[in-house]
Amino acid sequence: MVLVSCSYVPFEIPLALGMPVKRAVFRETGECSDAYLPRDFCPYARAFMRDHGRDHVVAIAGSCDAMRRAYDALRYFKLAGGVCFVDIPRTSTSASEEYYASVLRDFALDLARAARAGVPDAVAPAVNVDGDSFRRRLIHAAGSMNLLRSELSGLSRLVDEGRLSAGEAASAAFLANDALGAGTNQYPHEAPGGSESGQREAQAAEATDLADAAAAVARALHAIRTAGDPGAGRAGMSQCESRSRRHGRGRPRVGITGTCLLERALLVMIEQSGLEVAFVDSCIGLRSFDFRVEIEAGAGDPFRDLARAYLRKPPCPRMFAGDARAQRLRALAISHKVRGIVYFAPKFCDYAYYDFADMKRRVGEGDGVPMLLLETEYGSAGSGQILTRVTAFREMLEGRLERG
Amino acid sequence: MVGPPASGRARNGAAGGFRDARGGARARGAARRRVPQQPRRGFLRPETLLRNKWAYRAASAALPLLRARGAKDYQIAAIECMLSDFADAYLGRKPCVFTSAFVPTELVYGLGGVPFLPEAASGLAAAFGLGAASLSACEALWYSPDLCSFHRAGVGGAAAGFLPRPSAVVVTAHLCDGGKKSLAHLSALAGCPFYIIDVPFASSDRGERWVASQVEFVAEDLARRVPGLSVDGLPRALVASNEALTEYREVCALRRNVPAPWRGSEALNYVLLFLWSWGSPLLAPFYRALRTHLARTIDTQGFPVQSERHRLLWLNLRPYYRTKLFEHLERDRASSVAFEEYSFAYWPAMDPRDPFVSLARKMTSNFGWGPIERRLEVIEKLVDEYSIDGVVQFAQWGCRQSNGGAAIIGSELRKKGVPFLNLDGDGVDDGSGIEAQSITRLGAFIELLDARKVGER
Repeated sequence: MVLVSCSYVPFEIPLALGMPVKRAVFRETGECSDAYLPRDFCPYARAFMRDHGRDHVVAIAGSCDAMRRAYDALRYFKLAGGVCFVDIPRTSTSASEEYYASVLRDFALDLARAARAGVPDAVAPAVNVDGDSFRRRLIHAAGSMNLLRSELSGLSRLVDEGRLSAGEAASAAFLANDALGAGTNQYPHEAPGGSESGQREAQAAEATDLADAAAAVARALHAIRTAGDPGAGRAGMSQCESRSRRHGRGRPRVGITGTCLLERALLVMIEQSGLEVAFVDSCIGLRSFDFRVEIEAGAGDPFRDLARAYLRKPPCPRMFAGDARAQRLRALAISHKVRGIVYFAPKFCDYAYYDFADMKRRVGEGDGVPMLLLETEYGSAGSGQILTRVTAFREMLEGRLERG
Repeated sequence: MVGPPASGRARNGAAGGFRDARGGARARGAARRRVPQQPRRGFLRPETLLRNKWAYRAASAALPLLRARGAKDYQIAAIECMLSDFADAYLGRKPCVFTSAFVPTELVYGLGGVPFLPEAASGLAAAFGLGAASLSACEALWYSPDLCSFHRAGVGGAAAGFLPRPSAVVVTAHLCDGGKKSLAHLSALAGCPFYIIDVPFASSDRGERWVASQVEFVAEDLARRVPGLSVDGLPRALVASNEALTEYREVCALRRNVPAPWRGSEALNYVLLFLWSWGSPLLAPFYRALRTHLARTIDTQGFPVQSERHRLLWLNLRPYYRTKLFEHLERDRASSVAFEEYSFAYWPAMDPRDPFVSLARKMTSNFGWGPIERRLEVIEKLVDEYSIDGVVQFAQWGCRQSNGGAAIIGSELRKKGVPFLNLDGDGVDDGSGIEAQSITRLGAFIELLDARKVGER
């Protein structure tokens, strides 16, 4: 399985290689993380400091200084079967897209090497990532991921309409993530070339590969649709959340933004404290779902298409996209009619700290949308301190509502 | 590659303490008013003094007095170098370009501008007792105290009016995240163009070409947008840089002498010039004077730590406010900082005929960038070349890029039998209250080195 550290790393590539893939989500920081990374590091980077097992490949994105050092530590202390680095540019110009395309091609080669480590060539010949077969797989994977993203985006609409709680939508996203990561590596079959029968055999095998990938996507889709269907599958959701959802109307509406919010408990706590969450602009929210990947079937570079789509998706705080992030947050606040914004920052996340000050100045003070900064470690979402701060924020918003 | 053109501007009542050369504040906002008041008044206020041409004339006139009072030639040369840049920047004699620490400053000098490094200036602010005011001003702008204080003091210094007004901001994407984000903020406050040069993580020809194309674009766009800048002077700046590099390599060769001919605590102060002044015609004279001084010190055996017992390699920066740390190290413990990681000249001589590729190569060859093996290689090289007994990493609060490597560096050095100390501290915030603890830990480390020496006998 491939564990991915950032929403800018395309799932399409491991899926096209027949490798289960999921966004790394941890419940807590690794037990021994102090031995590898300093304590004043973001809990997400520190949470990677655990033994991931020989079968897992960890794909670390160059998101920030902390993740780069996490990449070093994972390799140096041999904490995973394979460790890949995905160097993501910080801008989305034509030149940076071209560079990122080359990075993604190298990433595909690295994964292919990792997937067939120890497998004889006769059993699994090297994948030609520039070949037609791999292109077809990428197109198929992009189609599947577009469908998933579209479904998850649909859940966001339900959240906005008050028909689904943000906690439930997050649960669906996590279940979909788990579904993509379930299963075992299915190394793609390459056409042996030459004989007609060999090619027929390879095409049949390719169809099997695609069916395997489709099955993973279908499981993920089932998880999402179950959550999104008001009449089905409520058993898994807590009564508390449903109550929160039903009674959400009339409560102050807030949006949630931040860097890497990968903790459902925080969303649940915010909703339970009496706020109605209208949107989540984070790695498990709109930033990851509000875009599509279109790979040309012709002779173009499919990695270039992937690079373009991912670099142009809604920017996260680590990108340098000018005013785009503030404009987007402002637009989200207006279109979702929120009264305030909760900014989530993992403790010691530099990009979150800088981004919060920027958003506070531009959107908070500039547009008069109150903002609350919540800094948490893993597992501290339910702490009294956080709850007190959220409750105080709610009271402030209610006071503003009453004053008109 | 290129960030937002004139991103943001100081709108919506946003804070901003940038002032023009005459000292008039261009933008004052809510957070500006929250800045703690300086105790000094009138023309003695630092933000006023820095913009007063008579202050620079007085400082220049005072240099002979300094010499008469025992200041060394290289110290005078360093002051001249900084005074010249500060006068250019604060008096508006040249377009001032803010850069992050690892932008090759040859680019700015070559364009005819003057570079200004807010994070490096934070060290100066701390040395002159302005660290607390700068940090406080930054926190008033909602910046977390968990961020690196060098960057916070840069932002706060701007809000408090201590920094000159930039005509443009150029950052590189490698190393410090805080450097690029804090400068993006300053660009928005000043309403000036912002450029980011993306540097690939892995070294490759392809990556170098990409960086070179970005540098070329930045240079040409700056020349187009900022009056007074032109690409014509780039070759001249690269020649000046090469000349300084030649002198500097001689300085480094002399510093390999045992005992150390230069006090490490002082050498760490000059890291500021090392980051700031490549491409300035005044850098080579400084290193020349320093080389002469070191050669004379070795000839006369006038070493700053006479009975040197241990030689240390210092990683990262130092506390720039008044501290007893180095006094304890050098005087009480007879140990020298023989060399500093940040004084290592990692780039090859540049080709003035091919300035963009040369500047790109300088950026991509930064050993702190890329997989940690590159940094380890340099540390091991310095340990060998400078006869190092122990390595101290100053774990600057909030510096993820450097501190994150501590476990690996410690492990690797232990394998080679070189003791390693990760010394927590803060280079700007003298209120961090960690000095006593640092002295104790440093003392214990020296005792460890003592014990090893006894064991070797």
